[in-house]
Amino acid sequence: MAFKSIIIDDEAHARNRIKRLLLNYTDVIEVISEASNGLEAFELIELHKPDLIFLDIQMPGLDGFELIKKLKFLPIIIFTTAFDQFALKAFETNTIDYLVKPIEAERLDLTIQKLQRLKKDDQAENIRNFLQLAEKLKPQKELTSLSVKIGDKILLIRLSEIVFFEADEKYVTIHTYERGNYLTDLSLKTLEEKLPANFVRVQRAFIVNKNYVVELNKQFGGKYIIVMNNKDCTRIVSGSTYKENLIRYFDL
Amino acid sequence: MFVGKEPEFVIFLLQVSIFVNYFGPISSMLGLQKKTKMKKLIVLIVFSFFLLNGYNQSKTKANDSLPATNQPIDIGFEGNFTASDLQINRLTAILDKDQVVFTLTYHSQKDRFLAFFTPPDGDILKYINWNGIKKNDTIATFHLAKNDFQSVDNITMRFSTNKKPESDRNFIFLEIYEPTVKKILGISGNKHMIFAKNFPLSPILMIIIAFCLLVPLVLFMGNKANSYSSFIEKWIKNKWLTFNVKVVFFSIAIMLIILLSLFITGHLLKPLPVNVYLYLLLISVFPANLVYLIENVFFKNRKMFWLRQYLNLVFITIGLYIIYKVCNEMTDKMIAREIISLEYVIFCGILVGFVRLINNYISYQKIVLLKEKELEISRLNELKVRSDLNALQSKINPHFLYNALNSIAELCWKDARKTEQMALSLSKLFRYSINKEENDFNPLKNEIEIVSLYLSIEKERLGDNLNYQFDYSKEIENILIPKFTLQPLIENAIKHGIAKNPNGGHIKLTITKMKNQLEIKVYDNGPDFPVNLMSGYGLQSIYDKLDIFYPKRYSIELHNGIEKNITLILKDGF
Repeated sequence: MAFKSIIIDDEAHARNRIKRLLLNYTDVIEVISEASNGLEAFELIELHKPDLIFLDIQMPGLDGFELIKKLKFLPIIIFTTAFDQFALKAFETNTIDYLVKPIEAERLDLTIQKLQRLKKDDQAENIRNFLQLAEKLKPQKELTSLSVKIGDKILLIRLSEIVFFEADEKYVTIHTYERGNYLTDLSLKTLEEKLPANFVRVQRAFIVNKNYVVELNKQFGGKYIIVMNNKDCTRIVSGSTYKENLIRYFDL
Repeated sequence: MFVGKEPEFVIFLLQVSIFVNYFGPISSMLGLQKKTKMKKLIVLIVFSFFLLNGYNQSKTKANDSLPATNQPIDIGFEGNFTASDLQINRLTAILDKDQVVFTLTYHSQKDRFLAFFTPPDGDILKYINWNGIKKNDTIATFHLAKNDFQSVDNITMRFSTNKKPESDRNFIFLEIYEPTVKKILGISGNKHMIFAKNFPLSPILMIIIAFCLLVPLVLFMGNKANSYSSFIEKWIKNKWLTFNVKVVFFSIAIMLIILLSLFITGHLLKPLPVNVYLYLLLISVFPANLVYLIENVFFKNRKMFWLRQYLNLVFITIGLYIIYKVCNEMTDKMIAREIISLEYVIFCGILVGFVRLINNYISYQKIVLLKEKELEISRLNELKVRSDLNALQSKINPHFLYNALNSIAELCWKDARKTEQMALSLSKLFRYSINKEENDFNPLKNEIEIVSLYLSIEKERLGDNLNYQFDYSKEIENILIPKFTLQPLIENAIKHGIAKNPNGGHIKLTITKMKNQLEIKVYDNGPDFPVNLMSGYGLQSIYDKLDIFYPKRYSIELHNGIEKNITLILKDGF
């Protein structure tokens, strides 16, 4: 019996290409429908409950991974993607395969062969494991900038030009190297969690960019005075509760 | 002359000023630019030391003060005791009901001492010639009837080591300190006579004085933008000149502060003679220049660190000693002796030398560490800039290429003409991006072509999902802008705007030339820009590129709402 399949890709040409290539395998795969975005795909899958989907990872609305997470019914998945990162190797499990664009007929042939050997039993379990894995492998996007609202404008401030953050009762002030100071609604706590490792919380009210620290002067009582490399040579006294932070990040 | 109830206090203040004069400018000269904490700390410690010392001294004096008439009073005087080392002598007077008892206390190192005490009528009351007396011994006690002191300015006091003094002028009492004494003795106004307040120093007052001295100093010594040194550096470019101006400024500032505090506390009785100020200036400038020479001219090499420090120590001491000698000749000897004794010279030289050593050692280590770190960073940066430049020139996503090729692989089965068109567009686009030998700048015309090629390929892929429109006038076509600046803006609008909008999207590019700036706007109808922490957003490459080719003359703004757009403004040069 042929696998009932749905092709999901935002690009018509890409869908057509898969359809065309699959014409050689009509006895194995029967294309029952196609979708041009994640939401549409979700509805079709829940409706038709196909055996197999060809899924593009990057799509408007819902992307491939988000779609799988949302699905209650899990078919066999074959990813199609233009990415050629090593991480994709991990996709080659028993229930999942991937095709790199431009899709080659020979590679598709391998996939079809593999498909015929597939056991459908522990399918769901496998996919869940895969999703966890994919989550880990997903390249952690490095945060590079912070946007602040000034009137109706939004300004992007690159993290690399931020010298330090200073909190008062209400707001957090962003002190940049050359472009002055800005206010942000984000709390120091949020920032501390999200910012890359070169931002170090040194005090209740301060997070400093390690790259702008010129000096650390040890004071009595285990405190440090941190001298920043900005025009004012700002001096920040570290808080005793953040001593561990300092020692860790500055190799003291 | 600055003789007061507690001359030691005044002297101590002047000593402090000398020390500060040395230490302040010298240390701010070479210390690490951003390193002032240590210096301030050391100055504070030394200051406190001096202040405590001065306080203790003046406290003992204060205990000897004269609230009541029948207690001892000090009478200080100045005088040239010929070539002797006789320094300070003190006459203590006890006022009784009907007589005044004067006790002469000997403060000299010499053990021979001769004194004449002459009452108004001219007879010598007592003549002492005493061998083997010790410091602070009571030499003699005079009992004088009060009536004998009708006119004090006729009293002369004569001291001599072994011979009679040549003139009386040197030995006239110039000061009597206690107003009550004046009253009792019935002294009337006299041109030689000055009255000093008996001024016990309370700890609170000491703190106030300390603040008067310390706060401006500490503020001054910073290297912040508003400190005096950076102000001077702004105006004078020659390093050595700057240094000397700093030293002089600093000396004057310190002197003013000290004079002010003397004035406030009532210790400043008369203005100090001009040569005292000159003397202080000389003391500041001369050894400071020695150190400057050693550290900046003769032994620039940081490797000779210890030699340099050693020379510092020696030269400062020698320099101070020379000044001591010169000033002994040049200025009023009394002043020279009191401000700067030989012991003090040596003490100061060694102290300053050591402080300098500690300071230099710390900065030396810091500099070595920093240098190593900086080297590493600059090496990395250079590599990064070089590779960045290459990468920045042509940052068309490979993802885009594969997708386009995938489309071509399909399209060729259906529409040969479209396939040809797409392959040609793709090759043109990549020709722009791969050609690296050309300029870093592109005329806008080329940039617009890159963008339209890019968009035509994307449109072929995305079909009806993508519409776009350009809006610019002919005149801007030849303006040069950094290569591949527009494309990432458009790519960004597709990736974060259109591609997230399942209903398809619209992109508009407008380029307007204002007076002397160029405004590039890319509109899209996708979801709003997030106001939050963001990753990449495709703009990093534009920032990096503009930082290199358009430093500080550009700005990027985002606008949300109906007219959602990203605006790039290039300033100047149009």
